[in-house]
Amino acid sequence: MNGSADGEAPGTGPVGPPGPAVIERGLRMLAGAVRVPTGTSPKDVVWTRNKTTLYRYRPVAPRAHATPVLLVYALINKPYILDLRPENSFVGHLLREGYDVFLLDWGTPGWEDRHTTLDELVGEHLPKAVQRMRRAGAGDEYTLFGYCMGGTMALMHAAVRPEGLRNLVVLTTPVDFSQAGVLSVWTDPRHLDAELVARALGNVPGSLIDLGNKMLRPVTNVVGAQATMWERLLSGRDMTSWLAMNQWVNDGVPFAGAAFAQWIRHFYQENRLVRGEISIGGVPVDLSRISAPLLAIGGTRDHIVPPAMIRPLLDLVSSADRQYLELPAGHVGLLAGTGARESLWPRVTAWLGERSDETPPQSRKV
Amino acid sequence: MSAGPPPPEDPLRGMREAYEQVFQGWSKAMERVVAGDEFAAASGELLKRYVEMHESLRTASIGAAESLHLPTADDLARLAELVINVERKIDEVSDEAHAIAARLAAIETTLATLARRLERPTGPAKPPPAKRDAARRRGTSAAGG
Repeated sequence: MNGSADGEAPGTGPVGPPGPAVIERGLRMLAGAVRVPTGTSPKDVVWTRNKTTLYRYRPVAPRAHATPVLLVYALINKPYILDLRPENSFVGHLLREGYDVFLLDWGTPGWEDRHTTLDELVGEHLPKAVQRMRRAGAGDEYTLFGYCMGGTMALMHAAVRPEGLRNLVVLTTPVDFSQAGVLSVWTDPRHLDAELVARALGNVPGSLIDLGNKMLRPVTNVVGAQATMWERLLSGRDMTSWLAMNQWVNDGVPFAGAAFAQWIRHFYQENRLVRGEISIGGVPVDLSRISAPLLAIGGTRDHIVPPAMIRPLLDLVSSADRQYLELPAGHVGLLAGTGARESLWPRVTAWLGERSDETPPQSRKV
Repeated sequence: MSAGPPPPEDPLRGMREAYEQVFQGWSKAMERVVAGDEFAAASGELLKRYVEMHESLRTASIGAAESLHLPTADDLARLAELVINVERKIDEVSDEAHAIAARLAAIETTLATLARRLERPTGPAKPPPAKRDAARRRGTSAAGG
């Protein structure tokens, strides 16, 4: 569980004209002094390696699908966005639909992890997590669900070790980095020396990554977020969802230096993934080796990973069953916005349901 | 009947209205600015200066710590790396143990199958192949003696 309630109810009902107490409350919220519990779905640790942890969520409904789902998150921010609040949890939705849900959390790197590379994470930790998932009795086949950079990592894993992969779902996942929009300009090698940054800082602070993301739309992300808060607060609306999202946005983790340098140099600056010039543990990443059913999802308003970065994936894989879905949402709102439970979640589980084994009736128990 | 005093004026209403009026324009203008090469060059230079300053400070603090015989972050990180390597080895040993357990389980299953076959009542035992071949050469039946 991330964050903790401070004993103060986030929503206070109609407050009328703003008094000093409301203003003070708003300022405390902006300062991060009012917190709400997040990532509360019960889960157990299955395996750990250094900072990486594989979790298995406890079921809340009879298991209807024998094919488990492994969620892979990015190295940026924390994965509890997938389980933000009980009433706004993609994980909770999967559990209610009867899936066996695992989560691979890369953790928070320390100074000792500044040399950690994508090779180690994708080439060692991810396969090991799959192996441990099997050992935990989850079956031989699995669905891999990658979000953002976690999707890119999932794609590399799927290309290098396709055995046992039943389905692949990638959400707002960058693939063709020549289409990165503003980030292409910012990461141009004339302006950004990723190796220098990694060498000097060791790990790149989460606040620096967050600043970069916010600066993509400075007015919307900085002024707009605060305006939304005041608007909600002054009209007496429940603040829980705003607080949870604000907490997550400001809860970034450092990016391991060596992995950051690789990510910027090999992906953004040299666009090696689509050219087949990435290797993981000495094995070339050839996306055409992916033959599992693929669902790629983009957000029309996503400015971090514009849809143009995702669409080329469908021409690179050899999956006969492949689908691209684009929904009118942004990078985070697509998964955890107010409309996600009606738009994204049911579509994902409908797609998965048609492609996952049913659990034998005698095995269905909570 | 008196309607009571009118509700007090919302002092933030004006700010909200002003914000809504200028928000779109400011937002678009700022997005154009940050998308430009000039902004990228300026922010890249700023970042470069920052990391160079950071590196200088770190080098100086390492020198100071070493002169005072204090452990540096690098020293502690080396210790942590040793722990991480031990953890990795334990993980590998766990994998090996699991593989050995799986092999043992397979052997146990095979042995159990063989034991069941041995316990099963059968007819007279056949002679070993060598004895049978010798009997065939002599034109007699080994089994018949």
